[in-house]
Amino acid sequence: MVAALHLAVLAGPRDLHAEPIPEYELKAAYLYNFMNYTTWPELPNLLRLCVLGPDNFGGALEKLSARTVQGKPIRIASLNSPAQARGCQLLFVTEREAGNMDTIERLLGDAPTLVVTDTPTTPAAAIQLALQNGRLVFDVDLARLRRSGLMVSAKVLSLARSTRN
Amino acid sequence: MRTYLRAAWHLAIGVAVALTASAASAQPDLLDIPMEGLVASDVQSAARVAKQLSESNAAVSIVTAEDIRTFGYRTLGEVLNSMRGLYTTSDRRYQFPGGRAYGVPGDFAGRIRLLIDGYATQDNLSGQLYLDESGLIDIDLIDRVEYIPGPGGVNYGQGAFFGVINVITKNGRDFNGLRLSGEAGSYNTFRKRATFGKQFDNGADLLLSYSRLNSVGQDFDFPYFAATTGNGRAAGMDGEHNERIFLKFQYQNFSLEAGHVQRTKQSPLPRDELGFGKPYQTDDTQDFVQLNYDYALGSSLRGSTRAFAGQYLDHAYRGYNEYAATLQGLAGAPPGAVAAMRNRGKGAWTGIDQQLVYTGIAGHTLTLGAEYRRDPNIDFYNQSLTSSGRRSDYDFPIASLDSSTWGLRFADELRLGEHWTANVGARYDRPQLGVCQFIRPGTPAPVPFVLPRSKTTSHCIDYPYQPQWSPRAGLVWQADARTTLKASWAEANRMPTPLELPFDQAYVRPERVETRELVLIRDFGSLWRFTGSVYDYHVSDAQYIDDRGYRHYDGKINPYGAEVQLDTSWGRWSLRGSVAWRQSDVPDKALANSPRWLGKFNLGMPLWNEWLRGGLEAQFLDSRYGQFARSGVVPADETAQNALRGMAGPVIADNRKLPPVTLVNFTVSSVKAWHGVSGALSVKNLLDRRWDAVAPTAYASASSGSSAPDLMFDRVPMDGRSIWLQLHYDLGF
Repeated sequence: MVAALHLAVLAGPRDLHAEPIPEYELKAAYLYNFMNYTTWPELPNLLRLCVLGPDNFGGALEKLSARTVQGKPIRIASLNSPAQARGCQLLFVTEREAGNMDTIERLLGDAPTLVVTDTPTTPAAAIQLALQNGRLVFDVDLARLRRSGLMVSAKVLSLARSTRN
Repeated sequence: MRTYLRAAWHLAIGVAVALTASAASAQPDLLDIPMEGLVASDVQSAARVAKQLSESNAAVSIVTAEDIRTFGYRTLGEVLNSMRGLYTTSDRRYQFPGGRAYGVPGDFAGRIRLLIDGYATQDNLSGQLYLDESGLIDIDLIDRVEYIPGPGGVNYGQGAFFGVINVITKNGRDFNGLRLSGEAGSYNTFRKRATFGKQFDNGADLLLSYSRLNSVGQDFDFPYFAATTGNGRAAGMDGEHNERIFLKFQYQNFSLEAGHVQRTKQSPLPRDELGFGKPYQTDDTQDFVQLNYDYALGSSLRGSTRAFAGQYLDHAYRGYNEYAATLQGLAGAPPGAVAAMRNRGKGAWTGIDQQLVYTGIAGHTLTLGAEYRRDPNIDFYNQSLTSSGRRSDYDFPIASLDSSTWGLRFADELRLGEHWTANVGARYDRPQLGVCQFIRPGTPAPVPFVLPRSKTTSHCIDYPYQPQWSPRAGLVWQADARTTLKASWAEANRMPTPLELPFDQAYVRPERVETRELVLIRDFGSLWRFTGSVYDYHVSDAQYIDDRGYRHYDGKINPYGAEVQLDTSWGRWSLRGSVAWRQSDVPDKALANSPRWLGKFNLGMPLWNEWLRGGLEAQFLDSRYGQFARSGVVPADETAQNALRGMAGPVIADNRKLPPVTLVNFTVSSVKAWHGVSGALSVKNLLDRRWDAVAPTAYASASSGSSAPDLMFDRVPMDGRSIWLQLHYDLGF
């Protein structure tokens, strides 16, 4: 049925959507949406989206810096050390740094930072991205969100593959 | 629900595209697409180079679930074969690992540790890994496999002598429903599997899987046995059957795992030269359960408590009884009274492991761990059977071992400024081992050969093992975000497995290894990674069997080598290539089955849009020495000793070489499910290369002597071209 819809509408022009979206462009869009649908205890004048460790985003994150979230501009920061993670509204931990999650968690404590990772078997992230059957899915740890004093809208939660308390 | 979202989304995009047909080359900005649209989009998985999760100073090899799918791996052994510097050898009963400094076929070893989510799987009779269909884990349940070369006892426990295989399993949420799988392949092989996985609303995650395998196998012709016995055909003697159950349940900080596998495999090769053509089948059963609890004790102290129990049963059956002659000589059994032999080997174990990680001191991550393991009953017992399958009146004594080990470990990771990290650690083991012998009542006469010769009056002995230290140290220089240099040194000990114990010596020294390794990891952009490593190992007090069949415990081996690997990916292509050069110096001899060069090549490619993916794999295995061929005639008491040890494979040999071989495999797999259906089609050994593995036991025809190479048996035929089809049907709920 999906295919039929496609054919009906798209006779002629190239079906853009049939081209899958590159993973990290999609991940960047997810991060943007997570920021849009998260409520921080206090909204600073500038929202910091931090990436810890060498990443695979390429230029995908740069597009975000031209955007605003909840009326505030986004600042993209590349971190070299977990010690710089305080003060980030969203912290994306890359695979290389995922092994240091203990340290990151200790340094962050209850700070209102939304920790996102795409590395499997990493504890302590509030949102974990994963690829499944050609889709980008995510799991949400509600307990960690609560501890950081963050609220993520029900709309995002309803799209999660799983949520856990 | 998702389907409708997706349909609606396609419709929306379609309309948008139709309206802006002239601007069709411009992608809509993803940031303008609502989240519902994003989650329904197909993703082109990024070119990526997987990064290690295991804690190690070494250059870790990684195979992910995606690699397993792309290259159609069916067993853990096939996964290892794709890794840099590793190879496996099969004798059509079991598959044995080969790597730096190890790889003798039939050497059950216990020199590599195989962990499934932290649980050490080796049995306590022979310390075997079970990399084939006899292993505990179904390949479809594996999320990733990491191989960590070098001693890993401080992080991964006793037994990690030459390396650690770390298997991380999937979670229930990775399946999110019921998956029914079927596999059909060459040699009349069929597998069925049902897997249920789900994460519930309260966060509990359940994974439950059951599978069955049946294979008829192949017929073989052995020229050696044709020449020596007049009929070298082994027909219908390669069959295999297995059954597996796996359970994983996680709730909050608890996790429970349990597994069961029972496998029978017929062996076309006899265990003894004179048993060719008689039924011989291995029968292995393994069970385990593990409970894990992770917790935080304050902000800078984390704990993890793990309790485990497992058991192993060996019920191998041999229609030919190589001990009959011995029994006749020693126990007075009349000829023909003993027709067959059934192993009744049994091993059980329980243990507890406690680990604490303290991060309260700036710049330090301190780890303290303690493990207690008890192996209360390790029984070696061969039941002799009459020609009607009943237990005969003549029996062998039971050798029963009782062992327990205390282990303590300590490690510290120090951050020495921005670019430098050092780590030090040590493990202390305090083993205890006692061996007893029991004679079944009614057995005509006690057979003395399993008792220590010096202590024939006693039925039990204690091995006075000394406590052992295994230290390590490493230095990591993170020169910049993309360059890492690691230097490491380590020492490790290894107790002989019960199968290797000399029952005529009250003391053997453990094997020791000292290793040095230098590793360079360099990323070029995010898409290229170079890994290089050089190493030098010194193994002392290695055990080996000399060319007369006697076991020694004072061998010296000096393995050294270099390995390079390149990982890259672009678009939907991925490439991994590696070359390993290895050398193992042994005084006056060459190490058997130790290829000098190993090459691996893995190319993943798009075949048809986002639907099909191809995986092309090539593996080069250099020439390797076979084992020293033994004449068929050995003194009776020596045969009996071999029987108790189980294996008669010499470790050090200087015999003829098997030629190098390049194997090519090709797999086409579906990238995403079509109405819940996904699958893969693999052709293994695409070029149909006829090749052999080094045999675990070698024979030379007594009539011709080993000078006639055509009449020497030292190799086992491996599979030619074979085809495998896997289909999965996912029912989400």
